[in-house]
Amino acid sequence: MTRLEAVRAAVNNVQFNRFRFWLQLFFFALLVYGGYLGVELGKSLPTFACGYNAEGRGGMCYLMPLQHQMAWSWQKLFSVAGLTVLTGFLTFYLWFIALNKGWCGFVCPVGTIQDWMTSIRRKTGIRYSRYTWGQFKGLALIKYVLLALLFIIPLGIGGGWFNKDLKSPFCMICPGRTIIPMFAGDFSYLTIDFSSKINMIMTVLGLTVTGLFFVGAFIKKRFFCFYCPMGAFHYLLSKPALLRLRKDGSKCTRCGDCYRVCDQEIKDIADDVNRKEIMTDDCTLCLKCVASCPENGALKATFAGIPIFESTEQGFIKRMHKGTPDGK
Amino acid sequence: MTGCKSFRFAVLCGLLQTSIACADVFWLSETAPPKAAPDAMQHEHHHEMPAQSAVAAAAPAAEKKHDHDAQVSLDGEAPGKDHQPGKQVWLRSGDNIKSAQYIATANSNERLTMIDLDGGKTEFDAESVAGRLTLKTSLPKVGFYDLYLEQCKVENGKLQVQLPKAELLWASCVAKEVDEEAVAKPIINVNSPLEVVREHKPDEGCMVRLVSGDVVNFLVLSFGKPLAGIPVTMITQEGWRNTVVSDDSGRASFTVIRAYFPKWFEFKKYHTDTFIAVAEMDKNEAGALDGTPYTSAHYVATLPGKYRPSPYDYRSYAWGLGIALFVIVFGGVAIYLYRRRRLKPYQEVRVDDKA
Repeated sequence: MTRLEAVRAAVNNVQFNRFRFWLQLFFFALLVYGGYLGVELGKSLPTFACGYNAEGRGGMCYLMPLQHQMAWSWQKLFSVAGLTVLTGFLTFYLWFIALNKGWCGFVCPVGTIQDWMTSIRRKTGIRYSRYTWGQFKGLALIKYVLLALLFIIPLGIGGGWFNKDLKSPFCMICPGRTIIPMFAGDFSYLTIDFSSKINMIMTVLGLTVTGLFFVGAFIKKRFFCFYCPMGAFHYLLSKPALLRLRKDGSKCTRCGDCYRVCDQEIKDIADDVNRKEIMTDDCTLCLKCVASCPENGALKATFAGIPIFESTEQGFIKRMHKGTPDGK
Repeated sequence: MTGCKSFRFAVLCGLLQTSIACADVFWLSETAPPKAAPDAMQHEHHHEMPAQSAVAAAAPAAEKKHDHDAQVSLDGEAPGKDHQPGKQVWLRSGDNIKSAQYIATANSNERLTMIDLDGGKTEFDAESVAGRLTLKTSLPKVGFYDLYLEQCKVENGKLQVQLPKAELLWASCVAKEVDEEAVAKPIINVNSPLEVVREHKPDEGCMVRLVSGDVVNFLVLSFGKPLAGIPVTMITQEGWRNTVVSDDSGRASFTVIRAYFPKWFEFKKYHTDTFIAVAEMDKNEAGALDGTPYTSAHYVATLPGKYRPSPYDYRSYAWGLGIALFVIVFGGVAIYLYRRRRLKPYQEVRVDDKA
């Protein structure tokens, strides 16, 4: 066995959930507390590094500056100043291309919090919930509606149609705005803002969504990711991304393991044996499907076309035997 | 003896309050003169009582347009455009903030000095536009800058020195490169004979604003050194004023009052009120200014500032936490009941092998 093959075997046999837990913890600390250590990754991150966490953030979620810029007056937006919108978008795109939707599965602090809540639920022995197929199809559209509103409302402000209090409409209802600053000791976003009707409605809506987030994420894995407009935005831009999820249908036995471990309940991952590019709009590229697949090479994650993690029988057995004398 | 001192102090303060109300107070304002009927504003009598002036200013103010950028009525001072590097200041005269005149320089050779956080100085020639002194500049980077003007003239053998100053700020909610500690340091002009410096809060960065209820400390300095016993008067946009004498460390403290009581549906959290801090000092010094002799000098230093309504006026934790908890409890119970209803009761099926 060559050294490269040995490294590949070690990667493919990795205790994936443990590896992912520590990686998520690292990114959580980086994006929520990195600011205290002087980390500044810019204002165009394709993940919920919440800008309302003013002191601690190690970077900023792109949706916040994007909405602010979209709310510029049209005269400004479609002038030379609009170039800053383009540069911001290009920076966002470059960040995004590197990890594709892996930003959701490995980096997003809001996603990580949901995974922690899932761990707590599992420890309590409460079973998780799943959507019916009808619910799945209907609710999956919500993220596109939110994405459209995220552009339309700020653009409407620039055109003078809406009140300026609405200039960050998604941020106002995003649970990240209320929850992430709390990790840095800022509880001020748990308030209702009575300064205007719009602020009052939006903060009531925001705290309602926060309440739903806690209930939903406790019983439903990655509850909020299903409605996340950032996820929809990612998918629309994902074609040239470097990190990809590929499937070799000829090796798939349709055992359904990948579907059962999928937090997002994506059926195609098990049912579709024709498509090679198997990532869908709901996928968070968490790669749990790859880790749970027992067929050699049926599912693989590639970076710039190079396989970096693929399903193997040996890896599957090792992970299944975790904690036993065989699996260590 | 102590009683006598207190009495003299009270009389002194009273006299000073009267004198400030009547004397010329020059200050630097970021509010542009109104385009419509500038003469009306120019000729507003600025010696009348503040309440009367406020009423007098209310009529033209009602006709003014609203600033949709900040969503506040330009009733008095405009809310500063802190998020923009471009700044324009005007020299105004009068202690009634709403109706103070826009004035020109007394001498053509006066210069404005801007000092940045690093102590770097930039000199500007004072420019008179339509009889008003103004300066238009662009701040090079995010942070605080202090702008100084010194205007001298001799009246009745007394040197009158006006030392208006403005604290300009370019703020950015997304700028992370700002050194918050450096921003919190007060800028001091060691060449100024009298200066009012607002002490910044320990955690004050570019996005921190004074709000009503805050305690604001002013330092009275002369050539960078604290001056004790100097009366400092804080005058707000609505006409409230209070005088405090600086202590041994040159500090005068005020609690920013709440002066904004709109109806709920008219409340604007970005509503900005302006205040001016005025320090006055008399000195027995003789000399000559441009050949005109004087035997004493009177210094007036001003510093305008802005404040907003306190978040306690419009934010509620009780409602926020109440709504979130209600959703959590209601949602949790609803899911529990939904799940329980869908549970199929255990049914034992017995198969009789002999049948």
